[in-house]
Amino acid sequence: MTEHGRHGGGAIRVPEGPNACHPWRVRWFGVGVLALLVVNCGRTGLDPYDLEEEAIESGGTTGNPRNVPPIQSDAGVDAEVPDAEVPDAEIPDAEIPDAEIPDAETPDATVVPPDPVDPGPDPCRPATETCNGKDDDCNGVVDEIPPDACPGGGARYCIAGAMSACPRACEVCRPGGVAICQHSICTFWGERECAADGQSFGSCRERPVPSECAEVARKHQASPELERCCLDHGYCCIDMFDFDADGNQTEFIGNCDALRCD
Amino acid sequence: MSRVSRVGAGLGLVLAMVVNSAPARAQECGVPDVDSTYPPDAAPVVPPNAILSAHYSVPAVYDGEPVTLVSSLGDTPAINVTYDEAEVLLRAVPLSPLPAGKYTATFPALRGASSGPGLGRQISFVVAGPFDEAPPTFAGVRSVTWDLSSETDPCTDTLEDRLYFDFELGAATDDAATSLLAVLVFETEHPGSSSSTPPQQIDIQPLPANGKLRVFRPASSAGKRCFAAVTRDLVGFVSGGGNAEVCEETIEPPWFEGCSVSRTRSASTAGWLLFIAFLALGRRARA
Repeated sequence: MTEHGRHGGGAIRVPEGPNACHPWRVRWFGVGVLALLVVNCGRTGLDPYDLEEEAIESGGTTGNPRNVPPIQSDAGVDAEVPDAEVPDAEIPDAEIPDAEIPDAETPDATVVPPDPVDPGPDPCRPATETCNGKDDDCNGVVDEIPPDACPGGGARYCIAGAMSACPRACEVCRPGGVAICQHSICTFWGERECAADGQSFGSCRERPVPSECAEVARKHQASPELERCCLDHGYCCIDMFDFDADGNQTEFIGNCDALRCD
Repeated sequence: MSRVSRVGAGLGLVLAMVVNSAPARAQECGVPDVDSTYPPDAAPVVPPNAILSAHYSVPAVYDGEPVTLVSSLGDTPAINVTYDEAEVLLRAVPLSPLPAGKYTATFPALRGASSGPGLGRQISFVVAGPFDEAPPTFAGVRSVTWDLSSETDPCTDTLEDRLYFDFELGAATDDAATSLLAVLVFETEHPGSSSSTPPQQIDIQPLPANGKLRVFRPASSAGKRCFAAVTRDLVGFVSGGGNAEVCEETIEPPWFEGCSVSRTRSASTAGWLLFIAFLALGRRARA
């Protein structure tokens, strides 16, 4: 072994002889590490697994990052002022007015006598049960309203004092459905795919422009003309240029039956 | 470097890259698989007037595929099959109460709007006991906590952020077993809603035995979200409890884009281990 240098007290030793670390081995290892770093590129940051681990490490509960244990109201005082230093002994009993000390053994003194004119809570007067968060018919059950069937399936229910909307098969889009978007470079044509749970779209991914719109894309690039071509040829298109003038440039228009939730 | 060790290191590197770059696909994109049935498989006491149903994971296209119902004696009771597009439920309604005995029901594989068929499911259950004639009772949602989830989506092939809400449910009772109940979860308030926005049904799941239920919501907007739930039995009777509302204030995910050596994905860990194993193999081969 040959000692080549020291860093902060630690020595770097390079083996010699048959097991020596040749430069090409170092290169291979370096290439491997670099490749792994490259394939691990991506979004990092707050992760549920991280949160869970951190919560466990800190002895807290998993889940809600706002789940901070409540601070005891006297915790800080107790920590900074030892009991022996509390100046209780400096106040003579004689200086404390009797009237300010409640008598612990006579709790009756702290009880407010009931108001003789207060009749108490209103007696329940039975009425037709409606969806309002109240027990209208006085049977002890709040809002026992039967479900109201919806024409497209499912039903409306009385929830939190209001009738729910009819259910929808999906939230934003049908999982796996595709809408055409416009890319600002290269082919100017892209696709946004609906996520597997139907709750969002993925980002706009560049795709080859179909032949029927190739000339328009070459000439006008990302443009209202390209959106018109998209619509005219039966695609479901993101309305980037607000063709329906509703102020919404993220909705999809055109042939979108395979994508719509309703 | 010997040829063996060079090939070994190369193979290890390639495998590590493959494992690291292609996360396991838990599900196929947009394929409707049966994810729950009512009653569940192996239910020991199902009331004779039960309606059988299967919930599909994503909206399906129903083209009249049959549901089969066969008793252990070989009888095939007549059923009326309907697909509820809004609740993504395929229902089989027996035309007359089912005689006591053991049954097997088979729910078909259905295709998605832009995918091939998913997985159907076969369940067995025993019809016994009295009719289910009363609605269940349910104390509603007791509490909720939330957190962030970021998983690779099989459709977009990218990480999709979701908020997940863990609910603690109150007690439920029914004149049939509570394990036959479904929980209908509603979102009563969300960051984009107003006072006139009606509650929206967002999920159906079997009533969990441990009273804990998880629901995923989009992470695109932060703010106050409120929820409520009711239960529904096999006949369609619905419980109360929908007036018990729980709320949470969500915050924006503190994401950032960048490169790092990830430590969170098991696939990544497997890739590293594989790479190190092949390096060690290469050293042994040389020795």
